[in-house]
Amino acid sequence: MKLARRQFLLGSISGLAVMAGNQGIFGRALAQTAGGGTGPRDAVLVVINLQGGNDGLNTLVPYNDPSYQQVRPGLGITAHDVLAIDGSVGLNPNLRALKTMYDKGQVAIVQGAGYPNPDHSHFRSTEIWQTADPVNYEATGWLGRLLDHATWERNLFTGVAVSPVLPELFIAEHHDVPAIDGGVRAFQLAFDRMRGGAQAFDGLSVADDAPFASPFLPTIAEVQRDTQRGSQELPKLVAGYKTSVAYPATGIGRSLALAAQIIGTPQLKTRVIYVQHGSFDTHVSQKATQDRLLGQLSDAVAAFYGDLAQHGNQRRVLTMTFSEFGRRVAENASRGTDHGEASPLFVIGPVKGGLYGTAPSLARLHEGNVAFTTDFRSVYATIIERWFGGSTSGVLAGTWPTLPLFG
Amino acid sequence: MEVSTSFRPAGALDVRTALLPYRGVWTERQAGHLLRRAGFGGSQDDVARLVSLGMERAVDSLMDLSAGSGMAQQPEGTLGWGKGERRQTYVSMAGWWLNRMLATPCPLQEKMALFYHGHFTSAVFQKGVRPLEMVDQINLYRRLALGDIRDLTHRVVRDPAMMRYLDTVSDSKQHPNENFARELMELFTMGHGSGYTEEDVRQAARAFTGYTLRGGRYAERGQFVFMPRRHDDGVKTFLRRAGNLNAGDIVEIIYQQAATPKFLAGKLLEFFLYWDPEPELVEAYGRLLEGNRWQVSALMSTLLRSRLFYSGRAYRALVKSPAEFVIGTLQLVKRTTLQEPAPVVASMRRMGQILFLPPNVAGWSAGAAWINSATMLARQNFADAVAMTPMASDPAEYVRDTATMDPSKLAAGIVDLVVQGDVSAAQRARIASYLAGPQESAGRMNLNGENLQQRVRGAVYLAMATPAYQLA
Repeated sequence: MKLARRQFLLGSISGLAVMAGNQGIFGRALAQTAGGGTGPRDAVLVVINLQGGNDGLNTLVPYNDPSYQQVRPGLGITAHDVLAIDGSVGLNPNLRALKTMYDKGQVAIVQGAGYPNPDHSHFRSTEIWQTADPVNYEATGWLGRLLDHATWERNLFTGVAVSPVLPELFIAEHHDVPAIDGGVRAFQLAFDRMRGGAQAFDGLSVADDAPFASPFLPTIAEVQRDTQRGSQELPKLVAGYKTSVAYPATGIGRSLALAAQIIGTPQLKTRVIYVQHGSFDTHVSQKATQDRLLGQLSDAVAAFYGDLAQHGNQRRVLTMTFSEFGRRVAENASRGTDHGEASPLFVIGPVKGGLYGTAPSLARLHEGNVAFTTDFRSVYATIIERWFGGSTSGVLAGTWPTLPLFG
Repeated sequence: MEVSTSFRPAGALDVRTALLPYRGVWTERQAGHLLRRAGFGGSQDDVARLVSLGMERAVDSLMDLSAGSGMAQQPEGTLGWGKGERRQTYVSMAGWWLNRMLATPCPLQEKMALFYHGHFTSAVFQKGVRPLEMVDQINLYRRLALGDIRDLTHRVVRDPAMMRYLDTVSDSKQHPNENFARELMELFTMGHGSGYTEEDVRQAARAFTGYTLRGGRYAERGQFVFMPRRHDDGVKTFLRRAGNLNAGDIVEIIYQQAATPKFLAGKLLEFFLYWDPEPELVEAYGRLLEGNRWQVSALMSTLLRSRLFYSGRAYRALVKSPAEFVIGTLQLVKRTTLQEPAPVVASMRRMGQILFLPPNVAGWSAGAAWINSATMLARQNFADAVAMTPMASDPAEYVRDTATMDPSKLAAGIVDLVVQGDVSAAQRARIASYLAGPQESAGRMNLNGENLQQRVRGAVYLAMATPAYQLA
């Protein structure tokens, strides 16, 4: 089986210790180019994983293409229902709030995002998107490598996964990312609340002089120390954040509310946040599931940017969606669609809104699937270079043309 | 800190001696290790019983699954699957399984069922999988726990929960659904990149058409039925074999591939031995499995008696899954039933494991993926709830010699109870110092009857909060 690897800095990166100064690639690049076509100095990226493979054809709909209605006799979205962007494509009618943001120029849509020789397995394709390596079994994730190479002020909360399990994209050589699920109040040690509880832990979470040698021991000791210190600090720090924005009572709504709270807590200095939504794995009865999930996504993202704006953070937060693949062009017999290939992704926030990349052709399919027209690594490169003002060296293998997402 | 590139144990493996029978010392440490792997950890008395049996008879007793049949065969209650009923149904199901894990005389049977649940994965309520179908699937895994894994694969093809979860129930010869065919090879038998092609997936999907449920998707408790009219009986070419292949043929052909015994042995070793086992070891156990007509008992019997299993390479070399952590902790404090499973279920969810509802068809990621700040908090807080709250057992019931007023002796006893002594001298001293209390400095006991119980509870918790306790 594939290995998950986590390694750590010498010593500890616990609590809020500052790890790096302004030297190095990122610090210099930021200093030189801030304001010159890159994001702000305290730029933040939020990545939303649409898990399970979102059907791109019914997300950004080629409603005017006669072959679209032919291949989607049961699932097709009509010109009447679509939220038209132009004469050929429009958004799924459940993306109404996102369409409003699109109309304000806050949404870039990258069409046909994918990679060569697509893999149809959820796990492998998710891994490919998260490790940014379609060929090799890379052990680290692209955001993990970004954290390793950035010279941001780093602490335990520089990257935060709002998910029950740490996603592979955050696996790093030298950086530990907490996975916070269920909100800040759930992120506390009960024993700490007792008199003398916190002190009693000192010296327990260690790997030194153990009477056995386990390959997992250093990792566990490190995570235990980080957990204890992080859980002591986090609730105190975020308690000051208040919002009047009412988020939808959905999983993605709660996740993005927590993301806004973390971003709005300056001491945390958080730069990268992961949230997840789904499952979009619609082999059967696709319409009801996808409609519900896209509606939830759209409403939650709108609330999120409302909250960010309320706190003056909207200009420094970029949000990107991805899904491991789109779905088969032809419907199956169960009113669903099977695993496919390319699909559009959204880049939301302070972008130059509009459509990017080439619209995939329904006349030139790849084994019955939408063929990719933009390699997803171009999107990653654009974010690393043009949003964070950094270098893809050590983060992405190869060189990738950037997209003019930021004008 | 030395940087490792994997979670495989350090140092070189001697594969020639790895499978030979173990002949070394047999103490609480070895017996505790065996019971953590072939069970959930047990109480101090359970470990002592295995010590008294000796290694061979201890393994024999764990591999004898005949005593387990007296346990409840299904959860209590009606197990509705309507939107408003699911929570109650779920708690009832989880409570049923957790209680079986907790009290079974055959912990290896439950452990194998847990392995298969994460291997031949299905998930309740997903894709319309009915609660009782999921119960039936787990019962199938219990029945064939140490049996013929090829036979089990044939049965999985016809398992109602699986047929719904991976969509064979709703396909037809005009539109074969590839989901099951793909995962059968990728996740269940051969492994990704092991030589089959996209075309093999499509061909196998044709062979699975017509395998459905009596009454279709709307059946209340699905039963397998073959519908010849919906089956594609044309010639298929699958893994270079051509013919009018049916589902049984596909499974047989898969079990003739060189990749299959290796993949299955690797999965079993990663669950029972250590992470990322060496290819030569996987190959040796693969041959053992294939050479014994796919009897998992042959692999497990050799493994659990082997030198490698009791060596430093394997000792505490796995991360406890949430089920192992929770059940082991409850067994340690001698709890034998769980009247109110809901809080335990909620804790396990925060630890990243919802029984009957794995995250996806690959099951749980396990290993280092169990460990992050969110899951670690849930683990520490579960241990706190078990050891510290008034609802928990009186420590006098599970800690020996609480009458001693010597903090060092008491700490040593607690450390032996919780982690078979697997702490450093400094960690042991920290726990003794906690027992002695903040005023203590010269090693004199500051315990008295009044604070003894609370201090002992705290010390049990602290022993559970050491890194060793997270490891199986």
